[in-house]
Amino acid sequence: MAILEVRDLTVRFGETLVLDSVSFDVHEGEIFVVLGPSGCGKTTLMRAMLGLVEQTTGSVRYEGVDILTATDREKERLLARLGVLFQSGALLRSMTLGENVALPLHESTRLARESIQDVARLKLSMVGLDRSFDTMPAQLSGGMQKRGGLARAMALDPQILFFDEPSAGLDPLTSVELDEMICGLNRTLGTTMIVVTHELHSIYTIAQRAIMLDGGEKGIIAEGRPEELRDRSDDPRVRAFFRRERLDEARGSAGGG
Amino acid sequence: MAETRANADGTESILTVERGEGETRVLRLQGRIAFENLDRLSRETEREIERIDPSSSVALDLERTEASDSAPVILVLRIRRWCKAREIPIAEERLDRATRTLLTLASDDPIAGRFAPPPPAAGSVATIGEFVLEWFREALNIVGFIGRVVLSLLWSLRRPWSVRWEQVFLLTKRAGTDALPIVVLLSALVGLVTAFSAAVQLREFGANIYIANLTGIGMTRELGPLLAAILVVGRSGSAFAAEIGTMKIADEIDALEVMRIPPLEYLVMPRILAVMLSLPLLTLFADTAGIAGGMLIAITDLDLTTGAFLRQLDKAIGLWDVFSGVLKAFFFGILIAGVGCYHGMSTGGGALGVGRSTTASVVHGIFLLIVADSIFVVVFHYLGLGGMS
Ligand SMILES: Nc1ncnc2c1ncn2[C@@H]1O[C@H](COP(=O)(O)OP(=O)(O)OP(=O)(O)O)[C@@H](O)[C@H]1O
Ligand SMILES: [Mg+2]
Repeated sequence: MAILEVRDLTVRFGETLVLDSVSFDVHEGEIFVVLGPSGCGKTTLMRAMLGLVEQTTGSVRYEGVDILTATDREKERLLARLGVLFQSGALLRSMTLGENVALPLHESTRLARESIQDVARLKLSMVGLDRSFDTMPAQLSGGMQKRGGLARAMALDPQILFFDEPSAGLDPLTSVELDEMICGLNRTLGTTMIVVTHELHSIYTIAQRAIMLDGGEKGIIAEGRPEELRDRSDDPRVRAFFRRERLDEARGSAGGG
Repeated sequence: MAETRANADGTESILTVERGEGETRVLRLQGRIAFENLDRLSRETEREIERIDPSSSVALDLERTEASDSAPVILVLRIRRWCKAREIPIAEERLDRATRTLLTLASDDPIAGRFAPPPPAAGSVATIGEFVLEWFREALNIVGFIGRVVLSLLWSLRRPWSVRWEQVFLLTKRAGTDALPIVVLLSALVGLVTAFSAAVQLREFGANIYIANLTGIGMTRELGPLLAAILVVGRSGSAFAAEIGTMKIADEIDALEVMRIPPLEYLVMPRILAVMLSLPLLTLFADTAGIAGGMLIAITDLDLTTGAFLRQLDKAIGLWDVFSGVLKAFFFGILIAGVGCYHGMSTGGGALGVGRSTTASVVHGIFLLIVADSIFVVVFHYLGLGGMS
């Protein structure tokens, strides 16, 4: 069942068209990966799906409710079910890491203060940051800030989690642990995940379905399971991406084979 | 002993404690456990555990719970803590799959941190002492920083083409020209108000004409430079701290450094030059506006003519009075820009840090301004330059 339906999503920044009439579905409980070269509009797609981009047309329906046309009340209720990790982590710099993770719990639940603390500590321990509860974001490394943002996104155990490049800037080991956590959350709580990533390794580990965007096309050039995309696609751009080849080599091998 | 309750929050969950084999107590939770009922369930569970005899052991059974968030995990972590605190061994833990998986994703005792003792607070005397020391250290740092900048300024003036003059002009416009209206308005008002307050006393002694001495000397020597400087602290010193501070926290200063562009020369020097040049000029405008304000009172309130006021003013103030004010303004300029840039360069700690630096630049700026002014007064006095003519 589709938990999220995107139809004819078109995004502009001023005169520049970034996404042109993009349509796809995300099914309930799946890990859905968005791929594509740098600058092709992955972050923009994610922000548009959250109703954060001004010049957006089309529709983004979460179980029927279109976030682009929803009233403020509807939108608020919708956003309470979503968790978002931004590409930069986007921790609020004026509070400690622990307070950052506790913030959505304070805002959206009526839990007692100690319970909020415990949940925040639990989430931070899941990303390996339980020691940094009282640290200010500026004193954390880039990867730690990213993981902190992840803990905050998971604070409310949302139904749908958006991750913008969760493993960028992380070492391979942490990155593998992160993938395990993503899969674990998906299996246990049935959380639907929409993940933007470049890491081939993560893609194979976590992705159940993927779409690939392209800057030239301003839209989706391939859709399917990652293995299918790797083995069956005859688009040279897709082949080049999955085989880590240069585009001209991929074109050559496609022509030869 | 069993406890079953329909919940006020509409979610169904059941907590039971049963006698198991031997001395085991089975703590069983069934139904939905979620953030909505976590607090209530925690209270009830804690109460049950307190009732269990420490010589027995506990078997935990959460197999028939429904989890939609991490509330059951928190509950299990808490039960472990409570049992440990009462030295009741947990013989067995039967958990549903979701809770078990979530627990493996977390560390051993993630909520331990909440129970860690806070770091000991320093006594109040020590705190005050530290605060004062910190202040002096900071003031010394600022003076050192300004010294360094002035040295490199002198050095680069030997190669004037190396200074970014177009930047200096731009900043001079922002620090000087743009500040002109507010400086003129404020000085005129202060001139007006001081003259007005003095007028009452002067009239008493029939010394009306000395209003010219009062406003003339007061404005040129003290109020003109100080007023202009205080406004520039608020307008430019704080802006410098915020601009450079924002660059600092975004690693832009480090980026300049590794591109072999010294930030001191690239960012700080043009700012110091700009304020150093524009503050003396602003001071002249402040002097004039303040005296004009005084003159207005002299004419309207003290029945003096314009001519009489100006003739007395000419007798009262000499070139040195005006020049000493301008000279002070020149040094104030270096001080203000220096303090602003220093706080910008020493910013750390994110957006909060930028705010702190901006505040500190204003507070330190005005503080050092007054200190410097006092030093000037004393020095001029002992050099025989401070006497009233
Ligand atoms: N706020 C904005 N204003 C104008 N153009 C923008 C804005 N944000 C993004 N763009 C443009 O939209 C395009 C897509 O950007 P986007 O950030 O979505 O790329 P991306 O696929 O996430 O890249 P990366 O993998 O590097 O993060 C880029 O060409 C970018 O210049
Ligand atoms: Mg991006």
